Amino acid sequence: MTQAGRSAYRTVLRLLPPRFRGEYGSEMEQLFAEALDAARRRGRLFFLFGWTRGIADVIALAWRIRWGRSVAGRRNQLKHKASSMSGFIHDLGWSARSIARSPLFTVAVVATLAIGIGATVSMFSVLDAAMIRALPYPDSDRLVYGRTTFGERVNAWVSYPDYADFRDGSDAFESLAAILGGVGQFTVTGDQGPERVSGRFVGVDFFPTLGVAPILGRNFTADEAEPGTPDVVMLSYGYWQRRFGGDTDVLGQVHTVAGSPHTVVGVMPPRFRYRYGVDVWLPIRLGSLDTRVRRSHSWNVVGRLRPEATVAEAQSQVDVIAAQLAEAYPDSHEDKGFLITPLGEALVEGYRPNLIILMAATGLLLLIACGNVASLMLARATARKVELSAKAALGASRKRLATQFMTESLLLATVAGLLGTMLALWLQQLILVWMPIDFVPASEVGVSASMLTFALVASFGTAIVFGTAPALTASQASPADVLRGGQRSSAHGGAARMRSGLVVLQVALTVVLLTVAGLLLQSFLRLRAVDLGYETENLLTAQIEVSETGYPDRNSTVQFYRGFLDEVRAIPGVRGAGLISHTPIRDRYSDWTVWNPENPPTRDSERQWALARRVLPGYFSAMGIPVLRGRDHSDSDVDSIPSLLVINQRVAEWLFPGEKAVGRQIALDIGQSEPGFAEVIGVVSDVNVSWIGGTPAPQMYFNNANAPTYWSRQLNLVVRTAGNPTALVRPIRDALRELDPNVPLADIAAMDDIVQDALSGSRVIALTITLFGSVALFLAMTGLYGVLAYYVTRRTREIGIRVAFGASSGHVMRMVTLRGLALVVGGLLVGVLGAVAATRLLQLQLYEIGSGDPITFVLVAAFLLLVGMLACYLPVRRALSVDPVEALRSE
Amino acid sequence: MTEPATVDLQKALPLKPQWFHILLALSQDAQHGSGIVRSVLDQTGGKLRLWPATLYGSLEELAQLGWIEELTRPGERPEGESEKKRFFRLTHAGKQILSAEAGRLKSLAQTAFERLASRGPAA
Repeated sequence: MTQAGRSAYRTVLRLLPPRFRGEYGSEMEQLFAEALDAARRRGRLFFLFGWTRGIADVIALAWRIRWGRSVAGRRNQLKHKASSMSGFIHDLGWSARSIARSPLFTVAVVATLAIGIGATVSMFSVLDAAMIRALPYPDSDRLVYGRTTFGERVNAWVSYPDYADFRDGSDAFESLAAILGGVGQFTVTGDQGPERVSGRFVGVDFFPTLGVAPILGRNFTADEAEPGTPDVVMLSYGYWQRRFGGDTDVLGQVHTVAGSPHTVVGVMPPRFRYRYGVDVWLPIRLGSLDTRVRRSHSWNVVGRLRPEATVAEAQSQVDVIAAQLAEAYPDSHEDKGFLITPLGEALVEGYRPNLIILMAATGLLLLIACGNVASLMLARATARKVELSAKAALGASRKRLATQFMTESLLLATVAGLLGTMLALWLQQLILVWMPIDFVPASEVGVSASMLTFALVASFGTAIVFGTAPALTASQASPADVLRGGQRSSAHGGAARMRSGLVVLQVALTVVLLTVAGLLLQSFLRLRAVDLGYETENLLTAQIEVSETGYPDRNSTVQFYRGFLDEVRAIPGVRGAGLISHTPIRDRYSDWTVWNPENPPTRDSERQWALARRVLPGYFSAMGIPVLRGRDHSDSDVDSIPSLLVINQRVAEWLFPGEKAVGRQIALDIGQSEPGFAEVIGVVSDVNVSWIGGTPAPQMYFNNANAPTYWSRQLNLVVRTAGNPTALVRPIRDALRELDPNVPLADIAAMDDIVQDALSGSRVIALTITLFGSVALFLAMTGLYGVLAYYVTRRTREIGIRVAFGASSGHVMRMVTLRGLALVVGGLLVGVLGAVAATRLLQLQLYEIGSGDPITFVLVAAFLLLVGMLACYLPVRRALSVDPVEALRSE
Repeated sequence: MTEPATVDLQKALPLKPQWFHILLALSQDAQHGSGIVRSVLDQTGGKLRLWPATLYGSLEELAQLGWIEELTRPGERPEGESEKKRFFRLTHAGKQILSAEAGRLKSLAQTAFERLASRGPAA
């Protein structure tokens, strides 16, 4: 632990009585340093958590010692029954009575705090589940994730031959397993008709690597990776229950999966999942295309380290192997590496920024809420001045008065904390529904010890934050006041100053939240306004796949899809229909390396990739993608050699700069020693097919009829409709059933919804932070109003005198308004500084807008000034209505 | 030092878990603070870490109860250990209470095993 850390802990220890500190302080410090070092070795978050625990621990002890609930205290209580009413119990009773006397105040305070605490606790619980808690696999701290690196760029996908080399060449891993990236859709046929299920291809050692065994049957065996062995399948618990009613006889049964018979060999335990929940798992077959090509990266790699191995050791071993690969394959592996990361860290990477933004925002919101409650309590302390002065006159010490107020704050915070925690149980589900995290299922976040600890610390912290100022004010009550009964006293001035300070702070925090919200919102609106290059409205998409048994060869497959397309086009309300291998925006990947054979690249790093898609003729016109030069595919092109290809502008400009592209040849890396060739017949305009926004990727479109049969069986339908697209689902289904009742239509979705889905992450964050900003604004303005209203009440006499001596209404108005605006401007100055720091962390989340966007800052400032003026309005009106005669008479 | 309280053993049970583990950690030899923390981590398979304030708060309470005592005479302290470290050991009363708690846990476990056994294998 650093010197600064030690002195920070010593400061915390000052909470303990000097006797205790003197006796044990230095040993406690030493122990804490040891505990923290242990926590630091486990990660940065554990380190933070260690600090929280360490501090909470000291607070708890200080509480026990000081409030006399220690053993000695308890014994003394029994011995001296007469003084058994310990200070704490007494204060608690007093607080409860005092709170009960003003129910409206209590409800306002508890509700404000409960919402603040609830939001913070639920956010923490989600953060804890995603970033701190261990993954739900045995010894998950030994699990690692392997990714390919190209220089600085990290790619989640790994090529199978590379993977096999890393697996065989390193002894740091107990096992290293591959899983095919992405979830596949398969048709299962049986007595109950065809059904689409989700599934993944996994290495036969994937489940043992995660350390999870099937609850029924067995794992895949090593033989089952070999081609030619009988096909087998493992079921998820959910699918087993749903489709087979949990019948154990399912083992050994043969079912048709994706057109071929598969034997069921095992069922995985309930709730087992790796990132996404799927229905079935199939073993990787060695020798299939994806396992042979070193340049094709389509696998995810998960490994389990040996108990004594570290990530760094594993990394240095694979670095050596990567260097050997670079020597063996200089063309393709020059700057290629393999990155080993702890699995938990790798999985959370994509979510971390949003989680941290939301956590910080809820924390700010809670602080602002505390500001309001503190302001309310201060006002109450002032109102109870007479009561407090009376107590002081009767001999209550300052400490005693402060303690009583603090007890009241603690009581309120405890009640709010309990309610907030209950609220959090529900809110955390809502957060995960709004912002799904693939490896944290919403159904599985529940109550956890860390969540409750956090709730406790948050409640206590809240009480300290909002209770300190009122307690200090209360302690300043002077016995003389009760006699004087006058309006002005030091306690008054102190409370008013503190409330003003709170308003400045609230405004500052609001500025931070609103600026962040403004930037995120603009970024989201820009993303939503992106022109993808085709209309997304009135466009229906669905997935369709024919089985190998029903359509064994190319001819039958081609005939079926042509016939289907004709049927769909004939449905009334259909303006156009097309078929493509990848639904835009939803299916993102699949790219091939291409080059101009007349100008071949000398090195691999100079090659370029283009997204490859298979289409049936008519796709472009259905989507509304203009064919700029040449033509679309046609049904008569089927047998042409070489295959024909439509490319987008980007590919054309980059392979044939300044030249005609139509009629030219393109070389393609098809994973063999010799490249394949295709002839360009058309150039279409650039559209966004994978991501929303940014430069459209290079794209090329093959004729589905030219593709290998085993690929061409699966396609996605796009239908341009005249009206509401979902109204056509039924007629399309009917048309399909008439052609072949065994072919299911799956994943039906309107294109608009797919786009909405893709934007949901940025939308959720933008809207949530905007909501938080609005609540913060409301709270800050309530605070400002309270301060000004009180200011006017206190100055009623002064205003009366001024008016009596001829001050104009403009003068009175200025006096109140300037007071209010001074607070707002003070908050603005502090807040803008905070916002500059906060938004700088945001840059990566923003689309086409800078984090320092001056317009946003100016708008937020102007908006706050305007709303600040509104908050001044009522107090100003009251000040103007002061009748000088009344004001002077009242004293 | 305050006089040890006379406590009815049964009334003091069940012990707070951290008290039980501290007494257990001291059952063999006298130990100092970080030694106790390590023993408790071992006893609980790393599940229970005593944070400093919990530890020393409990040690003081246990000493007030007379269940443990600090080694004060020079000859008692292990050799070669720094003078600054405070060593604690179990008193006679401490041994009694630890054994009473262990007995309570044992009979509880006994009951659990018997009930499980009498229900037979799960259907």
